[in-house]
Amino acid sequence: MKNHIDQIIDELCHLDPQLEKKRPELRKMVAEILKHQPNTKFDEAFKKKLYRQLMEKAAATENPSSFFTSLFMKPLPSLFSGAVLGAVLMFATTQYLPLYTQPTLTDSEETIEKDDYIASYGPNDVIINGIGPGAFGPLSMSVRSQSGGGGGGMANPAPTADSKMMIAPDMPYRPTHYEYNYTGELNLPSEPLEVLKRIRGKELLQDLPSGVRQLAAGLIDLSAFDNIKLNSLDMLQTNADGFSININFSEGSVNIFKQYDYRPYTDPQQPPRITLPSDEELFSLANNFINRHNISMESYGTPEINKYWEQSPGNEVPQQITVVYPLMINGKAVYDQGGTKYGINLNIDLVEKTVVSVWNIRSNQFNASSYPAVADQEKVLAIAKRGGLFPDYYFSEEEKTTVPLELSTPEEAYLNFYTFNQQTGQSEEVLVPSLIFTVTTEHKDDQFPPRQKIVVPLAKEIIEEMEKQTPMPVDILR
Amino acid sequence: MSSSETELIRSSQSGDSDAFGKLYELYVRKIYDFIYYKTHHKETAEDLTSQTFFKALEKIRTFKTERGSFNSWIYQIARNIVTDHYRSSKTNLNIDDIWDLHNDDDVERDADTRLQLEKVHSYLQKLKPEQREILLLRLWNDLSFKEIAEIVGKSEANCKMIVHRALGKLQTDLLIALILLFSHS
Repeated sequence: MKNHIDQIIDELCHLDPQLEKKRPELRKMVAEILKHQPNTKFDEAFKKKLYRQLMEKAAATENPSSFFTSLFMKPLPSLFSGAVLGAVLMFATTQYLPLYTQPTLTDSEETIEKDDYIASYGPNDVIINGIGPGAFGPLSMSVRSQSGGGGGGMANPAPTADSKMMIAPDMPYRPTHYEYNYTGELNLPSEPLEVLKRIRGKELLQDLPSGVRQLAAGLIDLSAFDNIKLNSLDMLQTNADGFSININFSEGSVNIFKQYDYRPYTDPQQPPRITLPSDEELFSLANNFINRHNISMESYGTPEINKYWEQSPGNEVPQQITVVYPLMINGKAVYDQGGTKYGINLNIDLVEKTVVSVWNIRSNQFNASSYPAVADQEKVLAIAKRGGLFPDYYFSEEEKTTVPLELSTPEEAYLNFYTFNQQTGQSEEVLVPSLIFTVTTEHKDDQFPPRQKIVVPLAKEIIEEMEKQTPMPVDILR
Repeated sequence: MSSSETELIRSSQSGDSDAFGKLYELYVRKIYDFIYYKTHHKETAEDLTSQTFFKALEKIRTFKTERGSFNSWIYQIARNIVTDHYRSSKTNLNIDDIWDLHNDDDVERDADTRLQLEKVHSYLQKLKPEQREILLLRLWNDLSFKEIAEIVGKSEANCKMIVHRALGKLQTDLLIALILLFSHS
């Protein structure tokens, strides 16, 4: 207190040396004012509460409405028009959207404002819009290996029937026939399945911003084209370690790839030495990239590393490894046809120790339609026994070497696959409730390893379609 | 302004909420006290402090380091919010803070603060608002004359002169009272 008072008086005396004579009186006066300084009653609880409120506000500011948010609104005008609402059912995954618990839009809730609706959902939250039964037509499965929709870049595709067909003609040995056996009871659905179809396509194209029309001015008059829309945006970082960023509006997706042109040259005859980091290091690299670039992960689960190389000949570690953040719908993970978790993928280069690509960041809005579920457990087990979606090839009995493998209790999940709509000429992305069995028996075979996951869709018509499939005789492949 | 504070400001402007949270930690007590000395009421001070930081969060991207310090910027926000609070609640547009109101005015004050200020209130109230504000910024808020100058938009020398005059006025009022007080004690 004394120093404080003297310091103030010194400052004033410096300004007016005459005050030096009145220093004792000034001291008394300043001391008196300081003595009556009120206690401000600063409250730590208030401080914490305000901090929390500010952080919430800051977080909301960091996530302004993006085109993905408005994109969600486009196919759903009927949600707010009332009369055609009918059986519309929307829900967000409660596990990943705790603030918005299973909202069911009913007639009484038609007054929800559009802006409120947008504010309630993040850009890639799962939103499901119920429509009538069987609305997607036949659930024809065309077995494909590609996850699709992401514009390529899949560094580590899971082994598939197609890839095995490629090596079959020159097989120098007799492949093993695997039987995948599950001995427990299955809990099959008693109600029709809710099959999902992802909303994508031309209706998601964005109006052309006025500035964009000017980009080609002088070369071509874009306004001379009727109904012109923006389909995609490509951007390029010109840094030494720059990325190209692609936003595809009709796919509702964003993909990021490190530019090959900007990467340092490596002599292909002297391949770099690759050391495999720990899982924790890989997750840390992936998480840091996601956090640094504010990639929305609201609808995605715990990441996993795609360790497909452990099943490949020689167990050779690749230069790039994929970390997958699985898409979660109704608390269930989504798998692709190869039995790999489906979601946002990050490729990490093990030489550069950095993320070099991210793909399949996307909107997650679906239409939902009910389809009959398979009720016969034996049919499901028979499909599982032969390898699920990808049956092993047919062997003549004298050539056949059968290895039985055990399956774990299946996980309830969604299978994501693409089907071709002949009417529109477009591929469609369909998600079907499925069982995912994990092979628990260890069996080493570098040349022709067994599958690690067995995928069995639970839609009755898909099971019936699969039952009709005739396995291709191996002899034809030779 | 320290380099670390400058870095926090830059990060906040880039959308780093944690950086803004650190700035908040640095300033919340100072701003709250500043507002309390102008309101004498805990709930009002908390409300206006909240408004100050929400405004700062909203406007942080517009803050320019070359135009002044963050310290003076956030005090100015708080100062304007206090003024707006009293001017919007009272029809008299010349009210800047609670010091411009009479003790018997219908405005909430903390009872203990009213008691604490009883002896000096009438003397401080006789000062011009500008004199009182700068004097209390120096004495109670412990701000330097340089900081005060930036907040109130005057030169440092001018602020010192204002305090000098304020004390001169108090000398004739308060000092006499003090002498009388001490002579009776």
